[in-house]
Amino acid sequence: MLTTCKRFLLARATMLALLVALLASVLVASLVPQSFLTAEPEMLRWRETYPAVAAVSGVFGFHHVFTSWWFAGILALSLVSMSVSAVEQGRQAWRRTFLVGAAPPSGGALVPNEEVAAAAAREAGYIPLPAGSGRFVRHPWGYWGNCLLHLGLVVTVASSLVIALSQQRGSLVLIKGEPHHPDEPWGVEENGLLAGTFVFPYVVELMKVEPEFLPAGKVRQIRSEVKVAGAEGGGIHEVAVNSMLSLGGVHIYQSTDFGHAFRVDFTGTDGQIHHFTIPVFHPQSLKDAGYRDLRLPISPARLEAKYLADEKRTSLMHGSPLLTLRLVENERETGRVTLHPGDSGQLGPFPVRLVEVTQWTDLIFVRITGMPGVFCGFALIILGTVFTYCLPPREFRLVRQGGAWHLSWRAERFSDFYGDERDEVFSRLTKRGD
Amino acid sequence: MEPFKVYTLLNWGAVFFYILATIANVWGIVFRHERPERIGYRIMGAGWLVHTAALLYWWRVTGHGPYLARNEVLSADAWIALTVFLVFVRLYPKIRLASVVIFPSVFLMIALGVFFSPQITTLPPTFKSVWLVFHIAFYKIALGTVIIACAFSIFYLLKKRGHAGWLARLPDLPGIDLYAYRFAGFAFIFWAIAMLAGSIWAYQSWGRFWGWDPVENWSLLTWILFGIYLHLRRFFRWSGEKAAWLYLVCLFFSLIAIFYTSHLNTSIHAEYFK
Repeated sequence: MLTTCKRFLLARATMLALLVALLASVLVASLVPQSFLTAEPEMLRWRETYPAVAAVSGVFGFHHVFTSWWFAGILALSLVSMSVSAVEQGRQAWRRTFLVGAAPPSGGALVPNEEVAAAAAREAGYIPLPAGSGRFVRHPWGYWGNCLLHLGLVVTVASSLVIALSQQRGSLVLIKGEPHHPDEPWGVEENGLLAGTFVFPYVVELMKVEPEFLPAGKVRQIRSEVKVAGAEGGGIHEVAVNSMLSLGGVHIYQSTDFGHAFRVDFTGTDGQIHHFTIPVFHPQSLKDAGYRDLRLPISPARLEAKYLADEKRTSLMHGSPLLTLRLVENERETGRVTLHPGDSGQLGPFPVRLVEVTQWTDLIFVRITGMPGVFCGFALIILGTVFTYCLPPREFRLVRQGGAWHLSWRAERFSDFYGDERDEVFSRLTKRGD
Repeated sequence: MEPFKVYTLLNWGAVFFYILATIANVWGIVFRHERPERIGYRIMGAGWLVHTAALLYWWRVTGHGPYLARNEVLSADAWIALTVFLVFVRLYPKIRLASVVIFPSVFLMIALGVFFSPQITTLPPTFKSVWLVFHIAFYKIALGTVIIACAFSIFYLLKKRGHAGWLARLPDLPGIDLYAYRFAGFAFIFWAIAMLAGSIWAYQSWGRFWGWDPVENWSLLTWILFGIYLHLRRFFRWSGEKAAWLYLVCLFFSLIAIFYTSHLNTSIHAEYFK
């Protein structure tokens, strides 16, 4: 039974079938919109446009290929097959590297002197392996190419599975002066199948955002200072794009979203005052406006916010921001107001006041285990393919035949490529013989 | 003179040299005159120098490598494909005749790039990573080897059908087949390095090494397809015509992955061209 299983897992046809199945899965995921990448309205539109495909997709989970049971099955079977294959390839590589097999039955040439033949092989970069065996190999590590390739695939897929099951991600819109507590929800949360709810156990507060701008107003770099209370090594830390911060096993990344946040008081129809903070995306330049649409709990209408970084158009970060708010109901504008800090106005049915302008940014928190495995796996894959395709092993065999020595040559792969190398050694020997 | 004018003129200069080189080279190869073929290589070398000057000049003007605007991306694709070929010709002189496919491809890529107006674009902050440079450079190097393998697959199909006497100068059929196999192997390696560099860059910037976005999917798909091609050749002894046709399918997928999917708005890679 075990032998049959092993034979099945090692069969070249099995590996090929699994590769084709993986290829087909990725192809399906490329053609059918994936729910985790596509907004719900777009998914709905797609279902209405292709009802038949959508029905099949609903049964087989084509709209979430990478979390479907059948993809997990293909991946698991591939992992087992590649693991068994890696062990087998390792055994073969060991045998080919260190055990001397039979010499090629034909070809080669007779040489009178063992020493001269060995010296010629060594001069051409061939090393005796094992020493004194009459076998000289160039690039013996090339025998390990396939083993490393398979091992790399196993390590990469296994590490990716660990990450898919255990990673925790959350993103937060942090507004300067508004601490975020561990019991408050994330803006967006995404957890692995076996991972629990993601809790960052410390209080985080944005102290400031410091974007750097190019002369044309485009963003060069975004840097934030955050205060982390309660963490070992807590205090004020800096995080910037491509320069993450690590705290308590969680990596914190600076996203490219930032801007001004506007604290606006709305007076409801019942006379109650509601405080809202509206984070608006930073404008691309002094001439452009930054935008954000959102819904407020006190109105069914959509609130559209836009602002200019500086009314006088002199500074992107330290000028006098000008905020415009619109209320839109059924695609019809029902109110509009433009406010400087401290101004009051009327927005549709609501009296509003711009109390304060501050900063906001988006930070991404990630707890992830297995990344070194992914990168090591990739490195092994590359090493394996380089050994296989760039450094195929070649060997000379020197065998005693009567009173003379027979020198033969073979290459593991691409032997036609290395005919010149073989001929050079033979011609050197011929010259020395003369 | 305005930087746009200088850059456009240099690019057109390179196109001019490349057209001349392609004509001389194809003429020499097809009509079996060694001199025009040799001259074709020399003109190509001159074009390469002008092209290099164009890219370096534009790098200095924009302050970043040629990997953001469509114009510079296509120009860099052409430059790297040609450079890869010229390096491999030194290593394997027998691939010299592949110039009949490489030179027109290079000329087409840069000429296509000239039709997109050059833009001075700024690098988004997340793009300032050495891993991004490796990521892009290795895809372009992979493209160079993909085109060389394509040349040999086409040669195989033509020679097998007995077309064109000029193909007699090529190695025998198994030799041509072997070159196609070998360069497909190189493409597989460079493609893998490009994906690795991309995943390191993504992890460094967003804490996510793989996002299953369309560009990543197509890149993985192409890589798996190359893997199937190599697997069939190695373990199922596929060779000759069957392998050549399968390689052309791989080529189709790789061209989609490099030239089409990165322009899709649903991909983070579309940021390049905004």
